[in-house]
Amino acid sequence: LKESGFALSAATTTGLYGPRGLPADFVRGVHEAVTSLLSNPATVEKLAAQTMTPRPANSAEMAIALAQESKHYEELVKASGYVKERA
Amino acid sequence: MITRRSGLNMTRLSSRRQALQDLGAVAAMLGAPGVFAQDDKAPITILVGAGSSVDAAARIVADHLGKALGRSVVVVPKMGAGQRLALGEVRRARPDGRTLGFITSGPFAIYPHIYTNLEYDPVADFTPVCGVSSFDVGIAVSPQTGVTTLRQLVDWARARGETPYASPGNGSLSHFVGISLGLDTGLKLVQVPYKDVNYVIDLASDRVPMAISGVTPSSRCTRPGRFESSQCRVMRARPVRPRCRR
Repeated sequence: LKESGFALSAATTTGLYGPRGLPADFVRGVHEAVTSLLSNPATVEKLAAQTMTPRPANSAEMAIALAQESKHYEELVKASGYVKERA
Repeated sequence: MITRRSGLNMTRLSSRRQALQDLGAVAAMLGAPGVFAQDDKAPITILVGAGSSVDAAARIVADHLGKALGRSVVVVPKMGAGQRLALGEVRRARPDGRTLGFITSGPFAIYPHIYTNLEYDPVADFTPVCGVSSFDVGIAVSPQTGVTTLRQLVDWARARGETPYASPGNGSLSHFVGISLGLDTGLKLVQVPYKDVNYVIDLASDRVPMAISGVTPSSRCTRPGRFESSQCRVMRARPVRPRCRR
């Protein structure tokens, strides 16, 4: 949502996650396979039909992006006085 | 390993020693799970905790991944608790590459800040494998508001005062877009959580003037015979909010 000077963060990402301790070579293999998939125009079209945009990222990039996103929401929760609940 | 196994028929002592060595060899194999996972041709289960476009995207990925890795990849929906059920299964799975989750960033980036007793550590308990896609949240307004831009919406809501908006639930990205918009503009926006897409009906009939929701195919006004497409005026998110169409 970038309109009229508002800078709202209004996108979210999807990705594949595994349990902790997933072997690095398996992670690499999946990342390579998915990244090649995401550069395929037919896939881009299929994702677009689901209103999604390809957003490839490797494990390290995901971790960084999540940390940034997490910080953003931490600040938003504080600023808004959001009342925490039990899960 | 095979030649060592013949040692099991030897004297008691040496067979015990041999058995221990065998165990050691097995442990070493398990301790090098990289090789183990790489050679594994067992099916991969991808757990999905959200429906609609998230589920559909998971299936697009699964199809391809199966072919690329030469393994069958199965998508298993595990709905509930805002993806936390699916995530719990991923967390409890052995890290052998047979169980993955297709999850949005919210449970990792938002939930830690809104729940007092989250059952997982978003960083320590998981391995991020690869990013797949992004999708937007859009703002839709009822036709009665007569607004077509975010600026107009802000002016309209300011004149109105307290403004309710439909969202998919507490702590959702959409909820936070509402919170964020309220903070940025000083508007008093009040969230009305909906469990399903029925907000579309309430929106069209002006029972709720505004909705914030993930831009997914189901959030289009696509109920044939119910709405004129012009009845849902939709704010644009980036890149482009899909038009209401029939």
